[in-house]
Amino acid sequence: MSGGIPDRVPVSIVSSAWVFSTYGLDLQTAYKDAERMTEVWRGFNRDFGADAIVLSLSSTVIPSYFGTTWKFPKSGFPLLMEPAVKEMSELEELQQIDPSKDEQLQACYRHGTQLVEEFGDERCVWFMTTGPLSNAARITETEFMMECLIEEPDFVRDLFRFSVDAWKIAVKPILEMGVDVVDFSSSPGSPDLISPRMYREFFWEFDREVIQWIHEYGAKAVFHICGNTLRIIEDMAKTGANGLSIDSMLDMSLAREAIGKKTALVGNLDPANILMNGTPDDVIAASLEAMKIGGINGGFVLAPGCDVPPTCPRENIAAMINTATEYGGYPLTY
Amino acid sequence: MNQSETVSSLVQVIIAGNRKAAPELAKKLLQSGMDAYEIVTAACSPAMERVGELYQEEEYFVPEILMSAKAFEAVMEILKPLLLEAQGQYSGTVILGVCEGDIHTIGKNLVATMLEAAGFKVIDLGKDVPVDRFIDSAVEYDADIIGASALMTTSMIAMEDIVDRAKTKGIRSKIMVGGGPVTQSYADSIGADGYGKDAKEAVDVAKRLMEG
Repeated sequence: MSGGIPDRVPVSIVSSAWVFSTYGLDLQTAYKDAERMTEVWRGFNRDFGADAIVLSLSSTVIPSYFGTTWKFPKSGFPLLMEPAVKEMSELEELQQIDPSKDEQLQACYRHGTQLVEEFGDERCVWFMTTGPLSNAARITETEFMMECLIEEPDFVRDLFRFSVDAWKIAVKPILEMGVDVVDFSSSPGSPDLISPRMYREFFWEFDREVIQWIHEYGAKAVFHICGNTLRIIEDMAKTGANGLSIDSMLDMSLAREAIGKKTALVGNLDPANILMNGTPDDVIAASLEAMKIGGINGGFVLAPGCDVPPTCPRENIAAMINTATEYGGYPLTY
Repeated sequence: MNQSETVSSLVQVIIAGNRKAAPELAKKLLQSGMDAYEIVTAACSPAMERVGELYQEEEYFVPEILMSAKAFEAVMEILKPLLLEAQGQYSGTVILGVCEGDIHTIGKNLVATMLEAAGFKVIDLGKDVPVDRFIDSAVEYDADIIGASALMTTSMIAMEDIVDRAKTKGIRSKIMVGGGPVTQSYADSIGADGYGKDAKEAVDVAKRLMEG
């Protein structure tokens, strides 16, 4: 991600939900227990040996602080029940976040400090979380936000401003502990939802601001938008991000053509059809192809295209990681 | 403005997603003597069909199509009490819902709106719907079609159970599926009767399923 070609293609799972489920942590309580989370990553590092140790802040934490409620199914991702802000006027009533009052943020800071101390020298400590504009759709609700993009653009800007400020307050201690990468999502900006014009008009400036802010602390910035982002990938690269994390439906060779060599690509194995439902051989084949297309001259991290379902078999994760360590040496010769 | 000009304006404001102007124009049409059913077929249906096309042409994205749906719904709010008398004219009954474990309702809501605009009676079960509720409701309403939606791979797998359960129970409803990770080949693999990649296609599929 610093430019230049590494010894081999790096690989990262960019998901904690899968790792926690696989190592027996309940997703509803996992994020409160720093020691158990660190223990689990120690186990993952021992058993799988990926290049990145992922510190994560659950998608529910910041929105919950403001009052959003969730349902936690036995397997699968948390479901938003009631958003904190149901009407525009409720945004003004929110008090800005105070991390000292949030148990899960405190656990995340302790867990992060432990990871940086233990793995900081040998591994990349990769902080991953839902970004401020994704959180905005969880402080309100996606459909309401979509309506406001048309009818109440000023409210959307206020909401984004508030959410970016909250995010910076929550994430600052994590940058200060010295993580290597900050990887955040900006999911509602996806061309699956909104037009590229709207992305440029409402999202882009905030994404750029967040990336510049991450750079002030010396960390690398990666950001993710779900879906087929080809139509906005150039804009995404112009934010100054070091890496763009891309979904499986995006044609990586076209993406590379659009953004040039400066920005790294992170991805883009299909989490559902390959990692969850495929065989290890499918995963190996898809990984080899992804490395060849995305990483022929560096600037590539092999990773899942989006969050990994907790039900994905561990042999498949192992197959992804082993393919990078066995065949990913530069120059690629297979 | 004469009646046909008002009809074209109504079509335009629904396409533009103006949820304030749309019901006003519908009221005006009612006052001019046009009946509710005719307003649906002459203005609402063609307007929503055009919205579906604009989406497929990538002119419209979710916020735009959502606002058109809101404008349409605002019109339906006024017309619905009057349409109840015309129940016999429904082109079919559809049970619609988002699979259990999933709360992504935007796509499902758009399908519901487009189906209503096309003359279907829609029983909307909402989000996070267990398999049995799809089946029980299909029996209760003697539904022609069950439509199941999912945005997440973890909830999509329930579609297979819906198909299986419907078969075991021997209910007559056809099953159509859709949503982010769902594909035609997935729909085929679980034995669903139809797949729509977006709201417009879902309506086309529903119409086709009604023909047998």
